[in-house]
Amino acid sequence: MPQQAPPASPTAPPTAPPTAPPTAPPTAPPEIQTAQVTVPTAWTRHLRVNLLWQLWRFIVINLKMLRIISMSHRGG
Amino acid sequence: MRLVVLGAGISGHTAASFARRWLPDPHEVVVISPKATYNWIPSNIWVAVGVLDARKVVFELAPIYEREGIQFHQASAEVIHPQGDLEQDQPFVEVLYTGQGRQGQRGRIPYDYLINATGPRLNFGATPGLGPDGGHSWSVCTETHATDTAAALKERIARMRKGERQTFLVGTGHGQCTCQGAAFEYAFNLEFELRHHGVRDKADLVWIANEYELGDFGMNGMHIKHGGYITPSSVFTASLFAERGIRWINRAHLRDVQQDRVQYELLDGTLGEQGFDFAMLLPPFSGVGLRAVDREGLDITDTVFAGNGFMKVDADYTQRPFEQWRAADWPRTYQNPTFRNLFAVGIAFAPPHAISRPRRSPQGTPISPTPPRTGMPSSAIGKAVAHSVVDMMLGLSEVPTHNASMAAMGAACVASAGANPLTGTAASITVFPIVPDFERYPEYGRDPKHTFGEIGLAGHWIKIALHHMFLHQARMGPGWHLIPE
Repeated sequence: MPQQAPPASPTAPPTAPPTAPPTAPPTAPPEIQTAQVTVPTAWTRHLRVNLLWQLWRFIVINLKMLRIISMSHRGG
Repeated sequence: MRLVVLGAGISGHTAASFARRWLPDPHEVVVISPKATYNWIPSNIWVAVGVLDARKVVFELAPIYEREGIQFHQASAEVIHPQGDLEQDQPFVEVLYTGQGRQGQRGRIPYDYLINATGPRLNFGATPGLGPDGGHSWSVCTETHATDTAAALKERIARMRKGERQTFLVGTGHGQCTCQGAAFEYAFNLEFELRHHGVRDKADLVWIANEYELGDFGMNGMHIKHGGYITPSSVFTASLFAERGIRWINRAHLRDVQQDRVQYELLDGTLGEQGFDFAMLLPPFSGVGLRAVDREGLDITDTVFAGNGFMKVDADYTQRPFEQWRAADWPRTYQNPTFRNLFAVGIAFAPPHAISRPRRSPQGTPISPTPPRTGMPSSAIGKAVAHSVVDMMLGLSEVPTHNASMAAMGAACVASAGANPLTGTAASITVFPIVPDFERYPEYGRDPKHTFGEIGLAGHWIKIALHHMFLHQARMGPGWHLIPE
């Protein structure tokens, strides 16, 4: 008579084999990540270092920053 | 009366300088700092890419303090006795001298008011193998670290000139880091310098950080107004990374930094590995380990400090879920709730919670930025607290008179992206307020009129101006007090 395996204890949960956390896929290469985002045109890149335009932006950004500083000094 | 300031970083030095200016002579201002020098930390980035000598970002504190009538003790503060002890009623700080010919000696420095501005402990030990001292990564946190980093970079550039490919890994070295902005600046300056040296084609640049999205900066990101759009900072920042060909790995906690690779865990629970030839990874911060004891000598550190080692102030530390965080949780006066003559400024104060949404991986690892308290807010807070303390010392008020809540204060930040007066750029960003206030600004938490960002050469000119202006202010040169924080 074939021997039967003893029934599993009703209170013991089935034992799951230990599992290692999954491994992250390698990072997407730059061209894949770039495809998901906006990138500047040549004209925009030119303006970023154009001396006349940047002189104007220097004034504008400084004014914006001074405004933030004066607002911050009002406390809270 | 005597005001003691612990620390001579941006916040502590600002507090001490203004307190000395506003307090008449019989009152004393004392600074205790373990370092003999002041370091303008924002410019360490340029030191670490080799375009600026470390001597341009530091100066000796003692001669300036002597000239201005501020007592200086080169020592590290170890224990605060806010009730004095059985021998003396006056509160005092126990210190261990680190210079001035008294190295290793202990001392007691009594105070009437104390401003804790110790800054952080650079907790490189939080990740095995992290950091330049016995680890495998470089840092920009101090001028010495930055100098060593520049030397290592120079050697890698020499290798690339010989035709070797190199992988550069830049970012944060732990799941709970802050200061992503500094790592961002280093990554972009590094990329700029590699182009300048003609070796960019030999370099792979990889960014790794604990931010959920690029551009989080520990502030839960921001929506910036520019070019006719209100754009999430993740989009703005990703564009800058893509333009420069820098790959990015977000939502990462570093588990181990080995000689040529890092093992990391992502927020979704997956594990990964990234190789490198050169890594600049910032450490997480913790309190410096200051203790407090009562009159009988019983340890009351838990009363004065939060669990992370930062000092408790007038914040609302009630634990709530992210959705219930309010702007009003953030401190206004920075006064300790137990001892009314104790204040904490800059990184030394315990924030009520993070600003970015807290997140954990399935393994329970926290992977989200802790809140930034550096730069402009830290000096503004230092100045406001100095004003309050001076008013209290002069008997003009019994309670703090000045507020500087990060939820009611804006910040102007200039993040360098390349140091050259004609071809360099920097991202100029303003946010208002620093901590989002969704009751006042329901849509974005911040005022879109004053939350702005753009990148260009003008930003670099501003960065140069700030470098000289704030070093002049820190040296307490003529008219220093007129320079706005």
